[in-house]
Amino acid sequence: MIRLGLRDNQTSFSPGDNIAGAALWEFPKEQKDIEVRLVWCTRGKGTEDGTTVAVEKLDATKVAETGTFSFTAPDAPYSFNGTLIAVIWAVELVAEPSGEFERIEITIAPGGKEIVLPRIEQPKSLGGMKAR
Amino acid sequence: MQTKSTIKVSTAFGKGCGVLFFSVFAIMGAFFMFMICAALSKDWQTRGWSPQDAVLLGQTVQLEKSDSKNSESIPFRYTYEGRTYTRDTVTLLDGMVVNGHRSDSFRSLSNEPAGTKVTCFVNPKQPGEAVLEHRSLTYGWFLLLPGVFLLVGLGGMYFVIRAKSATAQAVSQRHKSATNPNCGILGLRLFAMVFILIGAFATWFIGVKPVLESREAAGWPQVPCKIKSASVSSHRGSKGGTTYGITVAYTYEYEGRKFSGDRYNFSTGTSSSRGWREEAVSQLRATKDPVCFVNPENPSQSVLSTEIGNEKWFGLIPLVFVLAGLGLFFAAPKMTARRAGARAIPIPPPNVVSLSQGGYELKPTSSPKAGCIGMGIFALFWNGIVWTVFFLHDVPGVAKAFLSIFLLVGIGLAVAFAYFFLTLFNPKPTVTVDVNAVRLGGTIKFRWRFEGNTARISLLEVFLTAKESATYRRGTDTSTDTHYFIHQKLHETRERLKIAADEITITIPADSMHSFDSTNNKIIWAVKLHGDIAKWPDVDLEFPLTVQP
Repeated sequence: MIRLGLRDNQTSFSPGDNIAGAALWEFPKEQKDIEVRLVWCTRGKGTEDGTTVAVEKLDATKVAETGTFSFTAPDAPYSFNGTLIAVIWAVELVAEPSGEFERIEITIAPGGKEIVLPRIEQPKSLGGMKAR
Repeated sequence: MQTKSTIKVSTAFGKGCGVLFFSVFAIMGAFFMFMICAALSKDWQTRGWSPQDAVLLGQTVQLEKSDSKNSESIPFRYTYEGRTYTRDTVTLLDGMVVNGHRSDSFRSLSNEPAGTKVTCFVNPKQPGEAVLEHRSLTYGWFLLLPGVFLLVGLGGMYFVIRAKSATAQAVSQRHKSATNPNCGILGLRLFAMVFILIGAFATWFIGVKPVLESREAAGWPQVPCKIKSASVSSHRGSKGGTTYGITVAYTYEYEGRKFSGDRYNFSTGTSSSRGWREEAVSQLRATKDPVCFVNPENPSQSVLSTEIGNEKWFGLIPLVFVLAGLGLFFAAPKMTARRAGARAIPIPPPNVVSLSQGGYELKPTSSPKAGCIGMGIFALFWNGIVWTVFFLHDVPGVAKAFLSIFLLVGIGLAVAFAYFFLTLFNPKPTVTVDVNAVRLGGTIKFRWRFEGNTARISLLEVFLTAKESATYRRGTDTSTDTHYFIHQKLHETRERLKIAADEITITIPADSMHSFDSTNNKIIWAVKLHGDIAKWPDVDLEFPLTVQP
């Protein structure tokens, strides 16, 4: 069993803000690694991309324990939501080798507000050869 | 909305399809490996068989009706534990011939007269089974080819079965290769090695070896020979096409001994070209004093012609696999570095040139010259193949009707090339900016100066654009969709002088998304220059901008 929580249940952050929280776990046997990871991934039409930006290792020698973590929200990429693509930030608590995990999705963008890309009428091709 | 059970079913279905796909590779690989191993094992066992005296009974020749080929056998008699047996197998699996030619020792033995004493090897468990020769086991190298298929199949099945569905994994687990790029590099390089090995193997056997053998044979002594038979043999392929080969049989004498041969040249296999083969056969039949080239070190080896003709170039086609494999092998670190995720802060592309007098020169996303060359090569390649097949080969009417669709595409490509070619004569803009990257909410000075006859441009428009670009896979195809979220006309002019050179200040919206460049998903900012030219392809160039957070 693993549990993850963010301080004051805050899920919106500006770049440079502190992302802090606590993790709790209880396993029948010792895990090799218990890590809190700050990650982003894309969602939408394109094949998913993603990266682990920061990792904080917790004491995995104990089968039941609580731990705290703290990250600084990176400058980029911003959380955004477009017609084809969205970038989602998340904090993940992952135990290896059991593979158990818990994820909390967060927003990292100026003012803690996700950027929403406007939908506009798509331009017609400008190129071509016109008889004038 | 998808329920958990439908997700489970679709995941299981996907896994089932994946396992089925890779199992075809594994089964094919295992089957051919088994066949080769069985042959190797049998040939290896003959080395433990008992050597016995045998007598050749004289060569026999039979005509196989199926492919009008001469089938030869070498009968011999031997005695084992008081019983006499007759056999005609030089090696086990005598049917295994390479390029339609028997082994040299077969030909050597077939030239020996009846009554010649030789040694045969008898299977002590089944004395009725005997061979005249221990076949070389070097063909064991062929295990590599099905081995690759088996590995790909088993590996693929393992990963498909082991793979967890996306929802069952953390993001950081799904993108593990990003944290350990060495795994990705190794995987890509192994994949590249498959291409390199297969390509090199095929290039050697189809392209290089016949040429080297022909060169060597050109230096062999020429000996008069007697053509017993010569014909163009035809073979119907599994896909319906017909291929042709030259079937010959001839005899010659070298240093007082009689030999027979069946090799026209060192070209491998057959092809769809019939014309030159018919010409070669009629020439052979018409020649009064034919000669063959005889290997002085092994006189049973001979050939009638040391020419391969234009078919030798076909042997270089597998080089494409080698080049593709090498490209992938060396590009693997770069490719996995790209997969490692997007840069936190977008940086200007390498084609932004810093100027000595200050500022930066922007290069267009695609230059007219590159477009023209690319389209030219593609159009030439496409039309070259399609028109050659259409006119030079004996294509039936229905196939010609089908091919005409490809001809139309070829004509379309030629027109596209002409369009790109005309754009080469358009006025060319040089674009400079004061900073190589601009922040959201920031401004950038955008200058242009056209070279060439700018009077031809009647209207110049400048646009600020930003678009999403998503690359995705559907089956075996990879597609990219784009969607503009900003397409704003910043400037337009019909004044000739201002068309020729001018400057504008562009303000990037503060509440928008910065440039973003990950493997499959991108946010691309650009400035577009569009110049209207009457009765001519327009100036239409896009200059990428780097917008930072």
